[in-house]
Amino acid sequence: MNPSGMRLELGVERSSSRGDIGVVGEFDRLNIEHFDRVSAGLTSVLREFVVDLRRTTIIDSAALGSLVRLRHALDDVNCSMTVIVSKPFQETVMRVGGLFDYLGVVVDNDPNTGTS
Amino acid sequence: MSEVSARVDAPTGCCFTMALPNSLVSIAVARSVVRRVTTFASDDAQSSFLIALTEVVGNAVDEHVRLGSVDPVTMTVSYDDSDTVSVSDCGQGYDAEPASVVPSNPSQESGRGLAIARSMVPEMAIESTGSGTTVTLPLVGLGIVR
Repeated sequence: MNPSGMRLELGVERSSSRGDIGVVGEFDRLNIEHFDRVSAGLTSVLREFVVDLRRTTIIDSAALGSLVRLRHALDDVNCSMTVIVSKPFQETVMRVGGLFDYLGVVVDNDPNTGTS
Repeated sequence: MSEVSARVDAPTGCCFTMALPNSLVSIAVARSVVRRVTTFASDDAQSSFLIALTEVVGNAVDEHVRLGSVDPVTMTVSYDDSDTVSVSDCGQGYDAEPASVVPSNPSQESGRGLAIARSMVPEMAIESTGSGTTVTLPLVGLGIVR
């Protein structure tokens, strides 16, 4: 966890050109520069990109803006995007933000996942 | 580091008020204080309330920075008949209704803050004039100030 409360977990499977980025903790305007920088470094060689938000405790509108920017960047390289959420507040933020379909949001209802 | 030091007035009656610097660090400060003095009904309730607070404090700080205001944003935590957190700025105000509408184009990067805040805390109240805005976030159903 960095001083402002967010940790990123990265994984890239080169064989399948799939990249995963897990966001843990507070995903907000205090942290989005870090997310933008790390995710931008992963997009060029991938065909599938998964953003796992199940262990976030905060997702604000700036974080949504960051995800939209990522989607734009992935569109430019024909890479698909999936965002995984599990908690009610996470799902609400995505739905109210009008981004459920646009970002390819998937709700994981397994109670054993998404716990930190 | 004067920028990160917030002034906390001695409790008077059933509320206290903090002066928050016109910096994004105010978001973290406000969240820390509210987290410290509030017992939330659940983790999800805590996340919901703190997201709304993040949006409201962020908007207030943005407005002061935009105007070059030297006045601080203030946050008042009340715990009398009803527990609330209010955030006030000295900005030029805004019309709360259109400001709460989500952009119709999902590829737009910004413009969702107030709508998200309202969805997290549906009882949120906005009083806005040409000389400032106060947003009140009731804790009812989400937690209590202990």
